[in-house]
Amino acid sequence: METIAVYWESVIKTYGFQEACDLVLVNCDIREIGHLGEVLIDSQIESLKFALIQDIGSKMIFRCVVEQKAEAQVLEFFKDLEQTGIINGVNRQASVGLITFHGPHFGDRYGIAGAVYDALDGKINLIGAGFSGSVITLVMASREITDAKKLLSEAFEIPEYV
Amino acid sequence: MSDKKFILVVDDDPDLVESVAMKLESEQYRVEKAYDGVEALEKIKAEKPALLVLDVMMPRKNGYELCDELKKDPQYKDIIVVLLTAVADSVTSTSYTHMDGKTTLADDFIPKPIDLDKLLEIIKDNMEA
Amino acid sequence: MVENDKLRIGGIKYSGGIVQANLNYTASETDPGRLLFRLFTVQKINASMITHNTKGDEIYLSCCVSNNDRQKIEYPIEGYDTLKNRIWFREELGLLSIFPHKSRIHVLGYTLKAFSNVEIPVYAMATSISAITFVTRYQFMEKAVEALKSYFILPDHHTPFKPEFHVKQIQP
Repeated sequence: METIAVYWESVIKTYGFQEACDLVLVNCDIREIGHLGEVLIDSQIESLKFALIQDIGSKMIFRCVVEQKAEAQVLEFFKDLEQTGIINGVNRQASVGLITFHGPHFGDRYGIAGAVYDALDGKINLIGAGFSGSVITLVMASREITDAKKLLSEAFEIPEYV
Repeated sequence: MSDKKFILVVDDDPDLVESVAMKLESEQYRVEKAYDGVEALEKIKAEKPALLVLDVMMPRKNGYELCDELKKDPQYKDIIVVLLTAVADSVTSTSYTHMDGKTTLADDFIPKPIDLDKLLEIIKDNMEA
Repeated sequence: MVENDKLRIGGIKYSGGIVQANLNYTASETDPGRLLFRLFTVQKINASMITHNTKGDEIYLSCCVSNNDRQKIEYPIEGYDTLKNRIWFREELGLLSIFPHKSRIHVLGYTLKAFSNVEIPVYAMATSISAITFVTRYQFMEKAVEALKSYFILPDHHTPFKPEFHVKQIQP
């Protein structure tokens, strides 16, 4: 595969930050991923803001972040699913927030993740994160969103609206 | 056919395409998406857009090549072309074709990354001009 | 599934060969994850996909890097007690993305079902603004694309599945 261009910027530029607050995080462990796929097809879950799966060796974690209005529906869905044995350990966390941002060629460049973790500097309790494609999604308590955004703004540049 | 003005957004970054498309749709434009120059050209032939938001570095046919083709075709030369350019230097020892901004006939150039509200303003200005 | 019932998507992309580096630690430790990412920066390693999960006091980090970059991680981490002997690798993997999902959870459902039908494993998944990206076995990339065609319709002139070029970061 050819390299067709080379890229360098001294400050990491982004398209800007998007944030969402007062969301709900639903967690569970997946026992049968194929069956999970089948039931998700038939679910009427809308307002999916973010989802993660991670096989940590001993188990497979599934997490999804939805809007508050969908909380009851989603929880009922997952609780019913737990009865079937396809998943277990369902729990939810309310008042969760997301910060999402992306930039040109984020998926091709080094140093982006390091800049995020250095910026947050252990000051934000990161519940989850996904760095996928050119997009970074950070999950945290809603009350930490403002502080997190301030910390990230010091490390990443937002384009000017001139 | 809808009264909404039709815009085609073309970029090999699906996340940027989606961000731009959502922004435009929220402003009542009708939007289609393509992820490289070849796909874009086929969509243009299927329905001519009023305006094209066009990335430069893409597989199969890059933005400069597509813009050039459109501007030299009487049927498509009136499509407004807004090029999105990333700050990258070309690698000379490659079979990939490079043209530079000076040789292209685009109507406007925007360096990435850009604030989406600013992009919207540029699109509106170009549509009204 | 009949053609008319299939979901329309914009495209599918898959990566070159990668390895997944996994690190588990507790929140009370002085952030081995941050140390790992600093190492990546110093070694100029791009992590093409990262998933981070915190459950209680436990943090689970997985990072996908190019096959070529594995040695650039393995040797330097020997010098750090907080990382030495703690990172475990999954090998011969690849990333597959399907887009746009438009917040439709059933896109995730159909993809998981398609993979399960042909026994394609999933080691990680994350959504972005447009795409759902999976970490799976590299040898199954083409098989995965064929499996997805059972449930999804691609545009006639869709963009290629495999990347034709990349943009590389340099330091002047």
